[in-house]
Amino acid sequence: MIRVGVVDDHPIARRGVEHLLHETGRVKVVAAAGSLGELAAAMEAAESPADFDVIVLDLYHDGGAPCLDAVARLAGSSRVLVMSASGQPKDVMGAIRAGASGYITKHADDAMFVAAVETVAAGGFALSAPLADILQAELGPSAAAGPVKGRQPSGARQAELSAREEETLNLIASGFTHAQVATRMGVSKATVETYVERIRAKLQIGNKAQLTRAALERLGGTGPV
Amino acid sequence: MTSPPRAPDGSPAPAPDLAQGLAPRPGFVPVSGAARAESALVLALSLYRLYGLSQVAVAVWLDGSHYPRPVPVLALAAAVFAESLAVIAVCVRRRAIPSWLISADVVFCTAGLFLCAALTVRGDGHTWIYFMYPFTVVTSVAVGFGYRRLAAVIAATLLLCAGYVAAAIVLHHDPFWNVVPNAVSYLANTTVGWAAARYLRRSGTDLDRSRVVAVERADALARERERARHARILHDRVLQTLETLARGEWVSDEAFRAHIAGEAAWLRALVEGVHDGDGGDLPAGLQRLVRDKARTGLRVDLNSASVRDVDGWPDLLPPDRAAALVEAANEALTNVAKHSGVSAATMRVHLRGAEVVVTVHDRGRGFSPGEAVWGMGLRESIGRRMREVGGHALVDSAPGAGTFVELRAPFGRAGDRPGRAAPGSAASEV
Repeated sequence: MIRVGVVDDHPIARRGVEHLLHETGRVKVVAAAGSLGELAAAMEAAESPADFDVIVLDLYHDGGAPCLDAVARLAGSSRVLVMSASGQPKDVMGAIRAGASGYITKHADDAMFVAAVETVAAGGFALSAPLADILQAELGPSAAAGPVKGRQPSGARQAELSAREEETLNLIASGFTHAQVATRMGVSKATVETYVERIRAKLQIGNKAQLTRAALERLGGTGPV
Repeated sequence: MTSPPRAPDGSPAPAPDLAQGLAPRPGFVPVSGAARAESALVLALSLYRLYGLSQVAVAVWLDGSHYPRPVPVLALAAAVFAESLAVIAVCVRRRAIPSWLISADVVFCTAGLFLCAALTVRGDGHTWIYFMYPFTVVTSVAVGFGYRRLAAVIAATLLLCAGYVAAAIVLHHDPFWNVVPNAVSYLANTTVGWAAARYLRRSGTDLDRSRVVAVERADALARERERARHARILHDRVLQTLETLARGEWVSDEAFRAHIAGEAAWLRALVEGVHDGDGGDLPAGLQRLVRDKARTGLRVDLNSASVRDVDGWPDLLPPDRAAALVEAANEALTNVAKHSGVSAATMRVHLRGAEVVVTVHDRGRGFSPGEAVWGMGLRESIGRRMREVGGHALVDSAPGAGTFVELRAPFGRAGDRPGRAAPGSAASEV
């Protein structure tokens, strides 16, 4: 049973996520919190932090800014799946770089949502189509040149993707499942998983502890780890 | 009459007693850079005038007893005082130096040079008696302030020079080697005055221009912040509710749920702030498609991160090409709704080389090439539509593997395009 904490300030959306995960029978929502404060209280009440396999975290709370510091903090002790109804690419990139194990939009279909939670719980990288699209825009070759104005080099340019990884990203962004990507590329599904893991590694999210520290440094050392 | 102005303290602001009404008062619009430059020039003109008058006063005080005809000379000195004060008064009142005033002043000074020479005599050893010369040399700096064009400044200066040279040589019989260098002093003063005034005025207008730009930027930033705030409020309060209602069991009527889904799709596009679906460009057209399909019960996820920051769509993708892409995508989505057996699709728009690529993908039942008649129809019609605008289409499907449609069209300014790009990876797999 995957033990999940859900943080979303919107009660109906929170109920929706809870309901959806509960229906699978494979996921147990241990805590559903309206704020990070509520989650912290629930975590303290829990017997150990390991009670949470995955924390599904709404990227935007009351303020207009994405809660990147919370992503970094929570990623130190648990796996974080970031969720948002609408994500600015740079916010999503920031969340991934802060240690999130995936990003999904709230309008992802139910199966995708559950699959993402399961992938993250198993220690994987939930590379959803919108996330792949954003990564491709930020890392891909067309991001470096072209008529796109105002793109800020996020330091991601140093993460050079191989042609196969690039293709994987492209296909996932177009909506193909890992199995379909494997078929199209003529490789095994495990190879696709490897490409996805490599993409994640190139985003420097391999070592979570190191990443968390880096994220906190970037954020000016706010908040306890 | 204005009291003598104080020397400027180094700041560009005019002395307060000179520039009454110019200094920003509470609740008033700040004085523009151009106005400040102009009032600094008025202050400089006034100071030069007062200094010139002090020369006249000293000359008359020291040498008055030597004048052969003291009454007319004193009358001339008085006229010079009156004229100078009038010039200052006009400039201060107008907060500017009118060129007609300077023209009149140049004529007055030239006449004064002649008259003064006629009323005085050379020979008692010092030229101070001829007080109009130092006065006009000092005040000629303002001639450079009064005209915007250098040619006008030089013409007025030459008039002054000619008046002085003629009076000095004809009436006072001054030596030529003395007169010519004296005359050159006018030219130096007026041209330097002109250059300084030009620099000051330009700085003023530059300041105004950059102030306008800064205000516009601040304004745009404030608007963007406000928009982001509204978007956040709509997102938190309304959109999430709509999206949850659109997909849950809470609303039992399917048509109504589809309607909610359509409204939610529209609101999501608005909240994301890139395209509201009301414009004529490609992302707006695709966004409109998403909304229209949502109303019919087909949920379309649109991935468009890589074109989010593209500026100037009409230049990069002519409307006919954008329209062809939207129409072909519409046809592909219509086929998803009719034949795939699923109610969701992923649409993506991105840039690849010199092409814009729109893909439509579903995870439905798919079809076998050559078997499904509608599949052939789709392939043919969207292929034709894309070829009309110099693009390509490919349809890739297999039973049980869903359907993938890729639409490509040339993208970018005509000069940027090296020609038709090579087919992409997906195309080679058909």
